[in-house]
Order: sequence, then C-alpha cells, then structure tokens
Amino acid sequence: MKGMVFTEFFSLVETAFGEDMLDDIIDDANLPNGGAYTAVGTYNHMELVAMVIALSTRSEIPVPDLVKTFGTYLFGRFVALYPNFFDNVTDSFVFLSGIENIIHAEVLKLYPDANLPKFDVQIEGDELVMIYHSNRHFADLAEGLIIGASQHFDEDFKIVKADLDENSTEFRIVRQ
Amino acid sequence: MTEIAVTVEKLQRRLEREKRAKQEAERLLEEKSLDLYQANQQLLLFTADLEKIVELRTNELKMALMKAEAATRAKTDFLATISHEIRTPLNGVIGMARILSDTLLDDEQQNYVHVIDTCGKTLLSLINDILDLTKIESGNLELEQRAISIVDECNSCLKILNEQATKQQIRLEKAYASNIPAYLLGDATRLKQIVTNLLSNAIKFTHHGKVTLSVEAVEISNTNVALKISVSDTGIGIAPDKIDRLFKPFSQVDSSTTRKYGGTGLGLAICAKLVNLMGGNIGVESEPGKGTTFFFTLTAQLATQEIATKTNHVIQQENKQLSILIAEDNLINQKVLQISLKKLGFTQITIVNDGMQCVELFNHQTFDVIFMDMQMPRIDGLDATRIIRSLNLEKQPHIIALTANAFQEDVKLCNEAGMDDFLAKPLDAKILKEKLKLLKF
Repeated sequence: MKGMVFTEFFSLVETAFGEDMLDDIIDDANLPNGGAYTAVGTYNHMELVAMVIALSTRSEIPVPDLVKTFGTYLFGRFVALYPNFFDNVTDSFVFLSGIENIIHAEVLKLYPDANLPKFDVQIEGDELVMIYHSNRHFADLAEGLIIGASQHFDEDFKIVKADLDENSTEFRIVRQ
Repeated sequence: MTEIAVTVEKLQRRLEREKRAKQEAERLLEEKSLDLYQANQQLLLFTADLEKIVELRTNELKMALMKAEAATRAKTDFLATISHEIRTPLNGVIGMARILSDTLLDDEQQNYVHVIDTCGKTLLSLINDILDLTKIESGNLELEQRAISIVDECNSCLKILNEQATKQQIRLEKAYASNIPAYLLGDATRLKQIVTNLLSNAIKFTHHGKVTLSVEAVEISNTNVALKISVSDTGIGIAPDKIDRLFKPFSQVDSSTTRKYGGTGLGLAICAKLVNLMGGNIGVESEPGKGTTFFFTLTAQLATQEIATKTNHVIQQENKQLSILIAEDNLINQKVLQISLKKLGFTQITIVNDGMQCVELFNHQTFDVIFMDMQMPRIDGLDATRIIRSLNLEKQPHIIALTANAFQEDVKLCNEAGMDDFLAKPLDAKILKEKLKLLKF
C-alpha cells in the first residue's frame, strides 16, 4: 500500500485523537519500522490494519466506522494534493467512473509496481454500480472515499453495499 | 520531573521516527534517481544504435541510388550506342534503296524497292521515337530557348502534312487568333514535333471532313504568354474509357489500331512529356464517330524579332560549282553521300577516310563544304575541325557534322569545335538538299 495512505492516516489520528494516541497505537501495532513512514514508500497494508484495530480498541469506535471516516478524510486530501485530477470534472459519477482509467493510470506511471484495487463501474441514469475488487478488504475505505466524493461534488447519495464474494464488494449508488 | 522526562522521551521517539522516515525517503529518492539514470543511459544507447542504423541505411540508400543512376546512364549509353550502330547500316539500306529506285527497274522491282524504303523509314522513326523517349525520361533532353514565330512554325507543320492530307482528301485548315504574339522564346524543333504529331494522328484517323489547327493566346502579360494550341478532326473519335491510356508509352487505343493505322504508340507519350517539359498540359476531348480535339498549353516568354532573324552565309557563286570534301571512314556512308550529292548536281567531290587525311589536304588545297563524320580513326571530326579552324585560310570552309549520334550534347560539341551545321544519319535526301540550298557563298 502506498505510503501516502499511512502518512495521511497519521495526520488524521493526530488531528482527531492527538499525538499521544498516535504514539500509543504505533506501539500497540508493533510495527516493523517503528512507524517511520514516507509518502513515496510502499508498505504492507496489514500494518495499517494493525493500527486501525489498535485505534478501535483504544477509542472504542468500531473498525468499519474508523475506516469509513478515514476514507472520507482521504478524499479531501486527494482534492488538496492532486487538484488536476478534478479539473473539468463536474460530478461524482464522472469522477468515480474515471478512477480506473485516469487516476490509476497516472499512479502506475510513477509507481509501476503499485498493487491497485480494481473498480468496475456502470452508470444507468442516476444510479451507479461500482464493484470493488481487492484482496485487502478495504471496502469500507472505498465507501468512505465514495462519501467523500459526494460531499466534494455537493451531491446526496444513497449507498447500498453488498459483499459479492471474499474479494469483491458491490456499491449501488443512487443520486438523490 | 517524571512527567517532563516522559514528554522528552516521547518527543525523542517521535524525532527518531521522523528521522527514520526521512532516511527512508532519501533512500527511495536515491533508488528512483538511479533508476532514472539507468533508464537515461539505456535511452542514450538506443539513440546511438538508432543513429548508427540510420547512417547505415542512408549509406545503403545512397549506394542503391548511385547504382540506379549508373544503371540509367548505362541504359542511355547503350541506347546511344545501339542507335548509332543501327543508324549506320540503316543509312546504307535507305540510301541504297533510294539510289536503286532511280535505276531502270520494272514495276515489280520498283515495288520491292519501295517496300525496303518504307520499312527502313519506319524503323528509323521508331528508333528516333525510342531515343526521344529515353532522353526525356533520363532528363537528358534540353529545350532550346530561341526566338520563334508560332505562326511560322505552325504553317510549316501544315505544309509538311499537306501532302498526306491531300492524299486522303482531307481539308487541312487553320484558325489563328489575332492575339498571338509575333515572337516568343521556345524550342521550334520540339514544338513542331508536337504539332506535327497531333496533325499526323488527326489526318490518319480521319476518313472524310477536315482537320483544323487552332492557336490562341489565353493569357498575355508584358513578359509572358500562355498559348493554347488545338488540333480538331472530324474523324473516328476515341471511346471515353480508352482516353486515359492515350498518353502512355506503347499504348494505342487497341492492337487492331496498330494493324489498321500503323505507328509505334510512342508519339503521344512523347508529346505529353515534351509539353510537360515546356511547363504545359496536354489533353483530349472526343466523341466517337464525331471527332476528336487534342489540345496543349504552353507558357513562354515574349521575344523580339531581331533575335529571331537567322544569319546565313551570303553568296555569289553558283551552288553546283561548290567543292565538297567528304571525311567519312565508313565505305557505305561515303557511297550514299557521294551518290546523293551527285544526284543533286554536285560534281567536285573528294573523299577521305579519316581526319588526318582531311587536315593534310588543306596543306595544298581548300574546299567550300566539308561533310565531317564525328567518329573517325586517327583524328576525329571534332579535332579535325578545330585544326582547320586554326589554319590561316583565305576562306574557311562550311563544315557540316555528319553523325549517327542524335543527342543534343553532340550538337553542342560540334558547335563548340567550330562546325557550322549538323546532319544526323541516316541521311535524308530532302534535308541534305535543303541544307545545301540554304548554303550561300
């Protein structure tokens, strides 16, 4: 998983729970590098999972809620860090259907070895069906990102989530 | 105190973490830089390889081009040689046939001689056509830029074809627009070749009615003129689907045409190429059964009359009394020329076999006219001419080059050596007569 996700997770924890909490979950997660992450590196996603579990234990907030919240926050960071991906993008459906072919294509240029999730997208009127394929089980993160997109484009979404199999989750998004 | 110690420890741990993250980032940066460096090196290698390949290819292409050019030159040289070789015996055949036809023959014999003469002339025109086409295609044909009168040249074409038209009972008419300029710069020989060819075709394919030669200026400026010259007939016409093939070499409308009307199928191809060389276009409009109009355009600079007027030797002496020297190594050619001259009434004829003998003769005598072969043993025609021109003679002879080489370069070489005129072999009795008639001392 790209280091940027880790560094952004750190800044969210620092902002929302304080630096001490960050220190604590780093200790709890027993990370191989002691929590020294850099945005341009690549790390095992299980390290993030360990930290989220530690945060959940300490904050008593369920893991899915934490991950979803992080997803929503992460979307905002994407907008701030990579504004050119949002040029001329007028609504969330256009954006979501372009992740696979536009954003991931750009990511692969810089990081040819990046292991990216796959999204199948189909739009019918005001309904968008997105199937998330990944062996990392971060469907909650994906849901948070979708919510982030709806907030960014100021749209109201109704999201129905269904696990299709172990590695795929379907999001049925209806624009209200 | 303990609380401060704990805080310090925490800060230290965070600092350590940041340091390690920084080192990690630096390591990644270095790794990426190395990757980029290696990728660049690889690209440089590729570029160098590519440049080598391009250079190699360029050299190969240059070699191929040189070979192709050499082959073209060889082809042209071959054709020049072959034409020379064919023209020389052909000169003998046509010349002797003509002489033979003037002897006492019965009708049957006369008929045979006529066939020999016709076949010889057909072969000659085919060789000339092929030579023309080759010269144009190899870019060796240079157009002259002399002041010419379009009206005079067109009239001369009509005159040449008048006999053919009369024989077929075709009216030959002309329609010259009043806006044609008196003189313009051009190549009279080539212009006449095109017009004659079109007229001859028109007459050939017209069984009754008329053939009209029209000339008009379609655009005139202070310095230039654009002319349109058309030849219209009331002949058999050409089917629309056959028109495209007309201007391609060896393409008559169909093979039955060749059988019925003769010809090599090269004439229009040569016309088209000549017109292109003159910067014009050639075209045709036709309706089967009603007639055909061939037309071409050309753009030329306007000229004034004084450049157009040719100067010639002026004379008092009666032509028939001229002393003539033939310098020619080929026995048959000597004979043909000698007999032709005798038939024209010239009696004072001397023959030498090479340039050396020719020059030596001038030690103790002089001649009015020399027919000088270009290729002779010991001293060739060009050198012999130069030597004679350098002699301090009371009166310089009129030297006419005589050669089977029909290329423009030869004409130039002859002029440069100091020759006055040029006669291509095989000899045409009519042209010979014209040349000698013009000659005045």
